[in-house]
Parts: sequence; C-alpha cells; structure tokens
Amino acid sequence: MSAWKVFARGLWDEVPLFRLVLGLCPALAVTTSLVNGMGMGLATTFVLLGSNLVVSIFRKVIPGKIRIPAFIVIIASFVTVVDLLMHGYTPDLHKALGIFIPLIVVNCIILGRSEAFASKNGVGYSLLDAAGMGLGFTMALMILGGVREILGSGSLAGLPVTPESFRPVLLFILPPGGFIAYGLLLAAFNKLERNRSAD
Amino acid sequence: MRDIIELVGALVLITVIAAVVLSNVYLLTRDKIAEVEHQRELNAMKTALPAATVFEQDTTGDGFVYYRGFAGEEKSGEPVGYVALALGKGYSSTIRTMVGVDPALAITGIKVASQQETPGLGTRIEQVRRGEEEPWFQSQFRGKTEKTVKLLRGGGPDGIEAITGATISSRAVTKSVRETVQRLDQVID
Amino acid sequence: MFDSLFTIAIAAVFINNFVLSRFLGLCPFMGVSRNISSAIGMGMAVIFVMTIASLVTWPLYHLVLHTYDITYLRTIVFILVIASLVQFVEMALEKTAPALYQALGIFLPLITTNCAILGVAMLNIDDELSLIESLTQGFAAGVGFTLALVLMAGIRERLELARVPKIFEGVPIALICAGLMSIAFLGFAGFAVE
Repeated sequence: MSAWKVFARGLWDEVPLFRLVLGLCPALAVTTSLVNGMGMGLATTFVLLGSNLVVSIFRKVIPGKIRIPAFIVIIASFVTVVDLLMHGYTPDLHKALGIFIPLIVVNCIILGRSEAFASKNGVGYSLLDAAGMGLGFTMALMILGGVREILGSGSLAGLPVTPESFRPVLLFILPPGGFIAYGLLLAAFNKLERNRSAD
Repeated sequence: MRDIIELVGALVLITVIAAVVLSNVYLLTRDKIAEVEHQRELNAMKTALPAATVFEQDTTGDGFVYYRGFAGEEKSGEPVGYVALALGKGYSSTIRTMVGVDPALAITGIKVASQQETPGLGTRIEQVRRGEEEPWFQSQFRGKTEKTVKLLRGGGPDGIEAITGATISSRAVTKSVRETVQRLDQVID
Repeated sequence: MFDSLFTIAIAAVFINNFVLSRFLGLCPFMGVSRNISSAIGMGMAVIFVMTIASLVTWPLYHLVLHTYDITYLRTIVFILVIASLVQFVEMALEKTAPALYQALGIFLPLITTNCAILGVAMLNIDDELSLIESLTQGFAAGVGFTLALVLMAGIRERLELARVPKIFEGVPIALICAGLMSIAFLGFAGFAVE
C-alpha cells in the first residue's frame, strides 16, 4: 500500500464517526462548539500518534498474550501527558472538556489502530496511519461541533454568524441535539456516498 | 507457570517505565499547572472584589476559609473587603462562586469559578449578552446585601432575576451567595 | 445519609442518565442494542462490573494515590484495575457460575473499553463522594445504562420491521431515536430531589 493511501484512508474511506461508528462518547459529549470539537480531536490525534509510534517500535518485543494490556498502558500514559499539558497550557479548554480528556484512553479508535495497524506495521506507516485517522476524527468532530454551535447558539467559534432574527435552537447544544445532529449528518454522508457511487 | 511469570514481569516492566516517564512529565508541568490554578483563583477574587489587589487567607476555627482584600501592595491596614467561596448544589454539579463584599457587607461582585450545569441552560449563569462586557446574571449581585440577595421576578434593586429555564442553577447561586454573606457577617466584626 | 444515597441513585438513573445525558457508554449502546435479550445480558454485566469497579477504585485512590501524592497516575491505574477486574470476573464466573458465564461471558471483554465504567470511577472521585455513595452511584449508573439500553433495544426491534428511508437505515435512525429518548429524559430535568 502506498504511503499516501495509508494517510488518506482515515480522511475519507475509513473516516472515524462517519464511516466507522467508533469513538462516539467524546464525539457527542464535547461537540457543543467548534473549538471544543477541535480541541478534543487534536488531543486524540496526539495520543494516536504517540501510541502508534511506541507500539510500532516495540511491536516485536511485546509478548502477544499481553499485548492488549500493554497497549492500554501505553495509551493511558499518553493520555495522562495530554491531560497534564492541557491543564498547564490550555486551561480553559481543559476545563471545557473535563472528564472526557482522561476518557480518551477508552476511545475504541486508538486501541483499534494499535491492534489493527501499529502492531503489524513499521514506524513510518504507523505514524501516517495515526495522522490520517486523527485528522479525520478531528475533521468529523469539527463538522459536528460547528453544525451544533451554529444551530444551537447562533455562533461559530464564538463569533455570531446568524442574523439577529434567528433564534438559536437550544436543543442542538443539549444532549438530545447531539444524537439528532449526528444522526442527520450520518444520513447526509450516506446520501453523498450513494450519489458518488451512482455516478 | 514460567510463562505466566514472564508475562506478568513484562507487563510490570512496561507499567514501571510508563510510571517513571509520567512522573517526569508531572514534575515538568506541576509548577505551570499550580500557577494556572493560582492565577484563575486570583482573577476570580479580583472580579469579586475589584478594589483589592492583594489578598490574605484566613481560616476560622471550624474550617471556613475566607480572604481579606487590601488595596495597594501590603497586606496591612484596613481591609477594603472580604472574599469567600460559596458552594451551591446546582442542577448537575456543585457551583463554586467567589463572593466579594465590602466592610459594610454589601456585595462588590461575584464570579462563578466552576460549574458543570446543563449546556445552554444552567451554563447561562456565565452567559455574556451580545455587546456587553460581563455576565448579566452575575452583575445583578453587585450592591446587593444579605436582605436583597433573593430571587425576585423582574430583578431590580431589591432582588435577582432568575434565568428562564435554569431556575435550579439560579437558586443555587443566589442561596449559596446569601449564606456566604451571612457567614462573612459572623466572621468579621 | 439515606436521603443523599437516594438522591444519588435517582440522579444517576434518570436525571443525569449516564447514556442519554452524560454520553458515557455509547459504543455498546449502539452496538449491543439490536435485540432485547442481549441488551439485558450486557446491562447485567455492566451493573456488576461498575459496582465492583467503584468498590475497588475508591480505596485505591483515597488510600494509595492520594496519600502518596501521585494522583496524576489515576487514569493509568484505574484503567488497569478495570481491565484486570474484567478478566478476573470472567475467570471467576467461568469456574463458579457457568450458567451466568454463558449468559454474560461474551459481553465481558467488551466492557474494558466501555467508557461508562472508567467514567463512573472518575466521577466518584471528582464529585468527592464517600465509599458508600460511590457504590450507590456505581450501581445506579449501571441500572441507568441498562434502562437506556433495553429501551433502545425495544425500539430497534420494531425499527427492523419499519420502512425507513435508505440513507437512514441502521445507525442514523437509531441515533435519531436515541435523541428523542434523550428529549424524554430531559423531562426529568425539572426534578430536584431534596
């Protein structure tokens, strides 16, 4: 497989959230705004890069029987690093994402990439894979966060974007709106895909 | 059996390495995090009591923590006011509010320091209206006294207007602020 | 004392339902809600592990991590504890209660990556609960998860027979249903248990 394909797969063919329904909890919980979605996406990307890197370096040394717990320890370490760094350098974002930062550790996407890709491939490809998947996930979270922020608060990245006469539909930043917005986006994605394959 | 020992050994080794790495990252970030937290607290105190520049912590016999605020550089002379943290049980979290009063016990300002209320409803205790500088709900508390810190339809000088759809959060803040003012009343004489 | 436990339990099941308003445990919520019987099995397994996880992580945090000032290791310690706990429960059940193992066995490995378990263990700490309160919250959160899962499975069993637009088939329509359920649970929002 070419390097470009490994990278681009995560951006379209297997984009998390829209193609693979994985990593739902952070996706719905923190996407009340564009910035929160982006913060969560980038934090996840960092952890993915780190864990894929370490797993692929040590893939021949880690005994097969304990690989899953070993991966979990590696992932949990990077999550803690992200947690500490964000607490120190982006305190407001850290506060907004709250408990969902440590919960990155149980995001199925990350363990999935360690198991399915990094434990079988070299360092370079594993990093590309992590970057693709991470950016795909970030993109998906930003779309979801952006749509919810526009509909739910009438702003984007904190700046008002809708005319004064538009009354924000509060529901979209409440929990039910997360489910509904994601369901509608997923359907729209299916529609796009169907049109594409019909051509 | 040997197998198991080897596997457990490997896992322990990995965990120990992880713990060592993390303790180093922790040491590197510890001061920065402490500074951020301190700054956040100081900012909240300054919002609650704008006249003060330095604060001196004090604790009563039963564990109530409050701060004396002083104007200028020195923690001496007559305090310009007092600050304490009010804890209110909100709808889905404990709302922590920094409350400032002047020596006559009129509120100089409040600042919600942390809350995890429902986004879009309870979180409006921190909402800033378009074209305004400070959160409208919190700015209502300025100038109120123990007697007038209560929810009142329409708000005005004699009460606090609750947030539509977030009565529990509004009530939690108002009640905890009132109790804290009463507490401060007992402490300062 | 009893009041506060009751409050915590009601809040975890209804007012702040772990799945529908806290967004924890969504992957199994979407993945294992195709029929009611597996939903019940998964739910029972989650209640079981959540309660034990609350029982184990609380003393670990307060007696060890907090005492030695290494709370930053919380994430790594908790996830390891939960992973080994799941493994242990699986082995213990296989030996002592084969019938129960038959029923719950296939769900147990999925639980390690169920963020509701790690979530409840962390919320117990963040909310500054006592041990008894943590146990209550752990158990009630599991009940809340099961309630949402079984309700969802009931809806999805009927959805199988309904005519759904092509692009909404499968997950999208399930998400919209979950959204509607979540609106229903918002109805509990007005209740303050005092």
